[in-house]
Amino acid sequence: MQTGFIEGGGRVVAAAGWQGSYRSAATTPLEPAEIMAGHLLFVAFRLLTSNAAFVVVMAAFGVSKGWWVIATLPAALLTGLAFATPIAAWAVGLRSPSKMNSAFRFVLMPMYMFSGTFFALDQLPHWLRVAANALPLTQGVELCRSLSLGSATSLEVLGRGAYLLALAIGGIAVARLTYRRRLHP
Amino acid sequence: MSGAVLVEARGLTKTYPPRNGDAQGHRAVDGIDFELGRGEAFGFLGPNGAGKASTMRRVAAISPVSGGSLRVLGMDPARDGPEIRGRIGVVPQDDCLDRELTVRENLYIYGRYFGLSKAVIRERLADLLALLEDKADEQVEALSGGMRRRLTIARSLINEPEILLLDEPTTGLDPQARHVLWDRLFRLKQEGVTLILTTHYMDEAEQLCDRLAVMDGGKIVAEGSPRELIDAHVTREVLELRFPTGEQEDASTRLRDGGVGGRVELLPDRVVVYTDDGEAALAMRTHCRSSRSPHSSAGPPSRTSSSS
Repeated sequence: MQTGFIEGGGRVVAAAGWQGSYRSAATTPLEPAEIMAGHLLFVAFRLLTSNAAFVVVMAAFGVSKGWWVIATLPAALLTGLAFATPIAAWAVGLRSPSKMNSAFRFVLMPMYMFSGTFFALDQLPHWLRVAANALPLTQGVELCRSLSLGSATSLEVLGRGAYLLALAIGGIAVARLTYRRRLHP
Repeated sequence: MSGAVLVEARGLTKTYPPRNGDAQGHRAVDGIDFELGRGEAFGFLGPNGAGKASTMRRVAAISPVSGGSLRVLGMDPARDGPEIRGRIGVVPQDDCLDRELTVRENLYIYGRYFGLSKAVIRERLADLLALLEDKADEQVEALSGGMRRRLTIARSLINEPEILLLDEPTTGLDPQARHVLWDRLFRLKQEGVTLILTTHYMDEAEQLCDRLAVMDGGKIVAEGSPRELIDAHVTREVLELRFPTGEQEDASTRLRDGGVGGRVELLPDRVVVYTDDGEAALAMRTHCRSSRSPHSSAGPPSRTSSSS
């Protein structure tokens, strides 16, 4: 999530704004949707490489069991993209990075706390647990955790995977519009 | 193809959606007509916010028109945007270079955006790098403003464009760097590249452009060759008179009434008389002088300050 946010958020604001990378690319035959696709490919690359480093460390310290740990790579990629694409869709329209900082403080950080990343969700009161379960990060964390421990059921993988995929695709659909609006005003 | 029309605009209009409580929206370009032939150098002149850059964005096919018609290289920017952009070079106002990359890498990546092969880019790099002296492997961050501008121009030539769009190409550069760029642009023009540029500077417009359109408030208010515009709108000399504080308004009225000749304009800090003979106007002024003499200077209109 954090990598998805950093590479799909602040970097998009900079490229569309003061850095000008998008503006210079927009004057070439590239279409806004292609520029967006290029950026998302870069985000995917960053997600995969940083996830791979985590997997290596987990395997080296014997945290995960068996070859299933490899399956966390696409799962973590999907989780990262589920955040990166909607955030990029929003970020491309921003004129300054200050809103991005607020989003990190007031949306991302609380989500971090209540998504079962650091402590088990059973410790939360019932109503908060229901809300936490609906968070995309909870779904991503559970998906990766169960895959790395080899305890995942196919129904669970499909359900959580579909939820994250819907977010990632929804993000791309909106980003196609917002990229065009910003780059071809 | 010499003399062919490359850009044709009829009633070109661009309205931006309302922002910050402005209910009407902003009409940046307001129904302008112009035509541009192959090999021509065409300039848009005017103050900030006049609609020059907005017009350029339409021609560059990076922003849809709101009204009127526009053909670029015989194509419709709304439908054939990528193809038009493939045959145009753009030098944006802020360079938009990748500062962490070297000069060579900047050119290479931009060339790849056009789908050019490595071999083709390598071949063109040899020519383009000549513009940048020995800086090929320096990081853009370390380059001077003039050198960055040269790189931006080199970058815009990587696809061997038929039309080169330059948005305020020399704003912020020192006089020497400006002359180097003018020289380069002049040579490009001689090589048959069609230039469209925006500028605030009269001298730049006169140096580079065959034809000029003066824009204000989204409209073209005057059009013609630099010579025609000067003949029609600029007097041979401009007399500038400075009066003590408080006497300026009276003095300008007296000048007008006293038949000093030419047009009299009252500015916050001085009175300007547009005339063909500054000395005669000054002599006339002494007939209707007040008790205190003004500081005066007469001479040919300075190109940067004559804004009529």
